[in-house]
Amino acid sequence: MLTIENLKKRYGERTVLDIERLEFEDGKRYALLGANGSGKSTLLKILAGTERASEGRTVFPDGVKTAFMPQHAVGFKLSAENNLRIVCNDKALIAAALKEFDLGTLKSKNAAKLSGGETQRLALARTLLVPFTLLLLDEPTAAMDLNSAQAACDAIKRAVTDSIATLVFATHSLPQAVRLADFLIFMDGGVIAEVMSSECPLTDVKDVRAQAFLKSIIG
Amino acid sequence: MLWQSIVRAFELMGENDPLLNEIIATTMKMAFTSSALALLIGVPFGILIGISKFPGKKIVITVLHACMALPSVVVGLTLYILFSGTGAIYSVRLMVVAQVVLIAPVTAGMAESYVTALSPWLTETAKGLRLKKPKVLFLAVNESKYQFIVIYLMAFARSISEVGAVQIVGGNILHETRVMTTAIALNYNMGQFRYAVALGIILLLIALGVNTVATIIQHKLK
Repeated sequence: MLTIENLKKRYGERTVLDIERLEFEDGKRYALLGANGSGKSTLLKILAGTERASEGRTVFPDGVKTAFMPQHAVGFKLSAENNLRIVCNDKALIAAALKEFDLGTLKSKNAAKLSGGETQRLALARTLLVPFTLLLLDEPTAAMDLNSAQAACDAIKRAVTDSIATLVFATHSLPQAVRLADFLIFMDGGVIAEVMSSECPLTDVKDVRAQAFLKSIIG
Repeated sequence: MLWQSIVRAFELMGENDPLLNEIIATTMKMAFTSSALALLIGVPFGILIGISKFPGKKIVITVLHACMALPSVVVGLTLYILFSGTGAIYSVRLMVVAQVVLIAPVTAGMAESYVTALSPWLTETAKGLRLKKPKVLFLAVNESKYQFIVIYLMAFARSISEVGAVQIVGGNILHETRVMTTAIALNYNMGQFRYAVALGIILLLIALGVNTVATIIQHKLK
């Protein structure tokens, strides 16, 4: 189990993250939901180790292998195929990833010249080729069209199931969160407003901040 | 005077003067060797500093930036004191060493500065993919290759135009260590201004030629 205790992140005087306790069960999928600036990306970066917490601690399960895709998807200045080869030497796996993310026709193209959506598909394909037990994704489909986003969700679900991994992802899409996650974590102003099962009706949300967030996106 | 110097410069090039050819050859040998060495030493060092986190990094960067402004005469004098009495003094080899000492901090500083700008997203993505340091280094070099041409051009320009250090450690010896800049300084001191300016114009044309080739390579890399 991945456990967070008394985690705080400050930038100068401003506290952007303040989590008393949060647990992620092994093999479960968690969606981080909240408005911009609610602390989703900061939490993912701390879990990925690309940012340090100002206070508190994170206890990872033994032998954890983390893969993280940041919000700003990047294509290295290599062909799309070589972007995948940088993390994986298995030609069959690379060919399958190119096919799964509809990148077959772009495999020889320089990744620096891909569109935003194509770059995000490539970055996600690359991340999923890394062996992991904890997968962290920051708005992994935000730049994709609807069909690509759905295909990407299927690929994420399959990869997480195959690896028996824990998934924590940030998203602004409620349907994606419900479809992909076992638990919804509502965040507001750097704190956890509410954690609930994705199987529960959204009308069960009790916290007023989570209700306000839902109201802002559902209407 | 300037027009006459331009005419003289083209006359000199047309004359195929063995002495001028020798000076140009020594200049090119020194400039290409020292700029290439400065690039090979400075750039990996700069990239490593850029992508690494270690205690005292800010101090190292401050020292590096200070070394970018090393006065050439001071470097020349220091090497002169260190090597006088040895066989190395007044040789092209020591002129190259002096130029590498002067230029490597500049190539390192420029590489560090570029990689630092690129570093946040590169290191974040690389860490997310659990890439090992050699692969991150490869990616940093690959992402920066366009900038390396600019860094090389700057190194070459600094090398070909430098006069203080090469004058001291080279001695401006005819048929041995005379290069374009020391030849220009000598002709100026002898009052042969037209010849000195003509040599200066040839030097500019060489720099223009190297820049043109580099620009073509840059476009091919894009």
